[in-house]
Amino acid sequence: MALTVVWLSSPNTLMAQADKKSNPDSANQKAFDETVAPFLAKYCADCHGEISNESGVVLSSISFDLASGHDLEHWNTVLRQLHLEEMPPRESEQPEQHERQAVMLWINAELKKSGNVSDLYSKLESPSFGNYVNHEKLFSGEITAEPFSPARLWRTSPEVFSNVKSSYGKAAKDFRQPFPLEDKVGIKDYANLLFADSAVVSVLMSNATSASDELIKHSPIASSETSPTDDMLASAISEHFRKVVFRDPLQEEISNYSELFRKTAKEGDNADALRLVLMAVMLHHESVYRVEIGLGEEDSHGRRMLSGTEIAFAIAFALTDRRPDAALLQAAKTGKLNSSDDVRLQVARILQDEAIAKPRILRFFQEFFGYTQAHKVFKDEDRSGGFAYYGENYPAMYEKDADFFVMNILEKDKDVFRQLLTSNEYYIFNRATFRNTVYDFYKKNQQQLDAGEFPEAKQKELLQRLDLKGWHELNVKYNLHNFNKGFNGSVAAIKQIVDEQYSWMDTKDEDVLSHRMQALYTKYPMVYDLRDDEQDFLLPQPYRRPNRAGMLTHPAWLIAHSLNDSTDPIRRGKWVRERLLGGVIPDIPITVDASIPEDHTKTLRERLQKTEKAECWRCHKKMNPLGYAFEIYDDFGRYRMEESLGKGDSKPIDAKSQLAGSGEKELDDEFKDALELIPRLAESDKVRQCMIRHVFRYFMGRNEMLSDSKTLISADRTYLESGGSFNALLISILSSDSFLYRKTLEPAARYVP
Amino acid sequence: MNFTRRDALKNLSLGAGAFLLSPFLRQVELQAAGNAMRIPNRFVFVVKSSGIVPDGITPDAFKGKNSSSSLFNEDLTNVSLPSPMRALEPFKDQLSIVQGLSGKMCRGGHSSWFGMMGVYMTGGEFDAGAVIRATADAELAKLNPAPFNHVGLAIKGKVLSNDYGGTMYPGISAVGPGQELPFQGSPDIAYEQLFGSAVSSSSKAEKSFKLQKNLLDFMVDDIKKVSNAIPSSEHGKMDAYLNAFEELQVRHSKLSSMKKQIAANAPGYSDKFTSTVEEVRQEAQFDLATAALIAGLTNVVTIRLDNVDMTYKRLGIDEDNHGIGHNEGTRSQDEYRKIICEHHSELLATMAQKLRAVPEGDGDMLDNTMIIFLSDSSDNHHGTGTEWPYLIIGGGGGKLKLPGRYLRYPKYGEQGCRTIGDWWTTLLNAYGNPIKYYGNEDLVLKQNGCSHAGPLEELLV
Repeated sequence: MALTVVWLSSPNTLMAQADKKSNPDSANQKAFDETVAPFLAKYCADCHGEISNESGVVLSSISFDLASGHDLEHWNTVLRQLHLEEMPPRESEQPEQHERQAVMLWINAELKKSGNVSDLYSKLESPSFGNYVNHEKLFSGEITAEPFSPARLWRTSPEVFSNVKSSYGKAAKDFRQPFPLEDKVGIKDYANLLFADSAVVSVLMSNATSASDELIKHSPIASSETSPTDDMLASAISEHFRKVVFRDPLQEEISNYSELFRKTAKEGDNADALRLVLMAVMLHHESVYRVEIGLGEEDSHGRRMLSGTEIAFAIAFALTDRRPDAALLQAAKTGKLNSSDDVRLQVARILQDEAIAKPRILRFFQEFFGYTQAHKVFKDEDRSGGFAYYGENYPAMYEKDADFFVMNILEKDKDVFRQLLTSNEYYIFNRATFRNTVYDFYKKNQQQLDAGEFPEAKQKELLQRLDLKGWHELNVKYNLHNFNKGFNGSVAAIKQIVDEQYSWMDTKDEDVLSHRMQALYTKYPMVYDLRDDEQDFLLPQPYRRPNRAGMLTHPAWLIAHSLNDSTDPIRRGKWVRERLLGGVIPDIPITVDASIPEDHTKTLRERLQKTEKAECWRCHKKMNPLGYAFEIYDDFGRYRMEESLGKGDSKPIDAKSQLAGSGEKELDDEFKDALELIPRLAESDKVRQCMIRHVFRYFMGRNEMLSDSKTLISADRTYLESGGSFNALLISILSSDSFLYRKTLEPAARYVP
Repeated sequence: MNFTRRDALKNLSLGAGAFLLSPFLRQVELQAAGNAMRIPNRFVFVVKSSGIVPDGITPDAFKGKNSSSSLFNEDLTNVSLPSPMRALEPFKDQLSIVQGLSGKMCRGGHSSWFGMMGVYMTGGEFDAGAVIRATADAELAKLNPAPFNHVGLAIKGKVLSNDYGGTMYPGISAVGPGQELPFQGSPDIAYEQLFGSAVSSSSKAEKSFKLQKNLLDFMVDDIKKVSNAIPSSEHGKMDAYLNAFEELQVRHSKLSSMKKQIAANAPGYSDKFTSTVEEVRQEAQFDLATAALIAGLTNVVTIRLDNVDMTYKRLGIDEDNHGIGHNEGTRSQDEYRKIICEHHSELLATMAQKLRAVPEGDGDMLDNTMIIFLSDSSDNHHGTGTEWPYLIIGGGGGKLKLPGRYLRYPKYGEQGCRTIGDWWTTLLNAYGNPIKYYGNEDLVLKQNGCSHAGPLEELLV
């Protein structure tokens, strides 16, 4: 039977009450009476008593027999509110840290007795909870703990798998992706969130089956009638193992696999046996989880450094999606990957080497800004005035434009965060851009080209105009599909484009031929506020666009953060609050009707007044005012002064609002619109630090803890001292103790300050 | 099996990465716990390309009779089916035709890809696009677990492709976000995969099934050993991996115990299963699907019947489906479509006949099955999505007021018009998934105030 206590009046009546009822563990009761009950009475009773049951939460009759499973939900909520310091509310009297701790300890212990654990601690490890780690404390310098990451397994990423796949050659014909990531906004690849469960295994099994069927076709062991010698078998196993697991097998592993072979060969034949062994190797846990437990010696802070090999893999996977290159492995082997300085050298080497692809860097910005979601927000073609999905998918192309915007800034590597937030140098790229430029190049060099002369210097000039380092970049940049995919810069290829230009554009007008787009692309530049007749798409780019400031006013970002048929001030405001200001916004309460009323006489902002009721505004005040700043763009990302209301009516845009609660005095002010707000954000220390926190999360695959304070402060300083170099920031983070050291901790323990 | 650890896993909260036991394993556990097995609900989804023209499956008696603004719901058993569908006449009491449901939230053109059963816009001309959720067929498979939870059989792959044989990904069905259902395009391989544990054309499949146990045992031992060296905080991840292999062990032993049942119901092996004639390959896949259902190997099969690059040569057709859709060839599109419809009706009738011959409960297996015939390009070669015709055969376990009915919903945009999202919601609700609405809503309808976004109440029992 549940034991109910009443603590509203005083601890005395409480005990009296308890005495009357059943008698559970008396130590438990004592702890409750001495710590928990007085705490609840002092800090919670005013608002969550029977009469003043604020938000419907009544704690006056909560059962303390938690260990038998009573009131689990309520206690979990209490734990969460205490941990996140959301309750008691800021304006009320705050408990001492040790009082909070004591109650939390009690709840955790009782939960454990009941056979449950709180989901709080696993939630805290998810990306949406990252900001709950106090920003001011994190950057205050008061934290002296030595940074580390928890010892961990980290599931193979989809991109690493794709690269591994290529090493199988033909055997990978039927491979499918076993490690898909949830398709959602934000940083996704967190070590603690990803598991290899039965869905993963079923794909792995079918991959392994088809690959081994192919591989045994070429194996002398499989085709032989006689039993292979131990050495033959060991060498076949090792060869395959190195390819799949990326290291030499241990002696024990070889003998295990050999045993599997011998056992199976007895029941079947060599081919059957080898097939199973190959599959078993492909299913090795290290091809599913990267193991980062820290194989070095334990230091005086209880941390163990990653071994040279562990570091080599960590660096390679952080930047390249591939296994370590020869230089990294060599460094690991020769003991030159044993210190932060060693790591610094290797990371710098990889960053400087243009021949090494580093797709992880651009992907960070895609995930952080979320602009690559644009193609998933479907816009009605009729309403868009020319948006196209067939043939060409406009939003997907705007995403590529945004990629180039980012890459251009990264290439200069100066003042990177500020540039990303304020630069108005946009790329407007598509196949027509490419074709027009080639046509223009031809026209300027017609005589020479017609005579069949095309000296190397000229060829280089064409490459430069197309902003390419080599022809291999062509399809990556312009997404040429089947049409001009084979373009190789030869005279014949140029002339083919010229011919196509004549026939597809159906005109001889030189101006049209080099400055306009063919029909499929005519409306493409509309989101950059360009009229059909004022388009100029000759390279080199970028172009400066008026009324724009950085990524948050880029059409790809605006579309990605819009609804199907309108803008989305709430989500845009939430984005700024969380990603740039480090704010926290709780999930929408399940009881809330989140629909916006239809009204064709009101602007969206006016209709959103619904959210200004007191109980809504508590959270919406953090989002809406920031989101309104972007109302100067419509949901296609076009700059506007008026909002159309349907039926031909329109009203002037009101994007004026104010920022409050940013935690920085200079920021909390009124603004006219996004173009006034954004430059202020770009100047803010806190905004910069918040962006660095996200870089940290992405490259560490986890949320920061207070103990990562030293790493973050030093990363911030390095970034400033280097004049805003992203590369310098990366080197700092990837050579930090947070990246290089491991410590074994249970999740709950990680969050005890 | 280690039930304690598994129970612990279930309780362990793993945030977004929380994993559940597969429905199959859960069912095995229920059975082990002594819960009697209920008669499963079975589903076959037959997906044709190039659209189902609504008129082509409308009985003459109903043509032009229905008004456009209200639900037309009539008894089908008293009228004659269109003549190309005559093979289905004997099943009229178990037959239903549903028309007028719109799917404008899906891509139009040659294929709606996953949209057809996932209710959202995806893909391009050649590319199936993103998988954002499990499609409705896969959702129904989750509710009716079996050793092979969801079987995909294909005659052709993607809508525009000449892919042939082997594992295929036609882009129409998905078991979860980012996870497309693999289809087997070679009937001989499908035969081995489904029935190989008990019978086989060679002894190969049977042997390799037996030997697979060695692999599973090895993996389980190996992972258990490794777990000791892993920090305890990370055991959950290793346990998830271990658990997956243990599940396969369970399935393996379940299949072993079903050997007699499988052998008794496996189709006789013939050169049908290696034929390169498309119409014969269709027959072979239908045979396999039917036998797998009867043997209890699966409860849900999705069949990719053809694609637009396929030509029905054996039916005497000289034009591929794409050409037919574009009015090419020596005959009219309508004539071609009738010939093909007749052939499809025969395939469906044969399957229905075989299921009807198996007694089950108070009736037969057809009573507890729903064969749903639909197209990935709605109502035409270049589907408009304005309406998405369905032809259904089977009693569906009496969960829906469908058998023997002809239904035509109000036209798109009219008051009371309904969508394929509502349709799939109805099915999911009827068979145990209480979801309020499945899929994306039609925003245009919503703006105009006629999106109901919920089950079709008149169909629910």
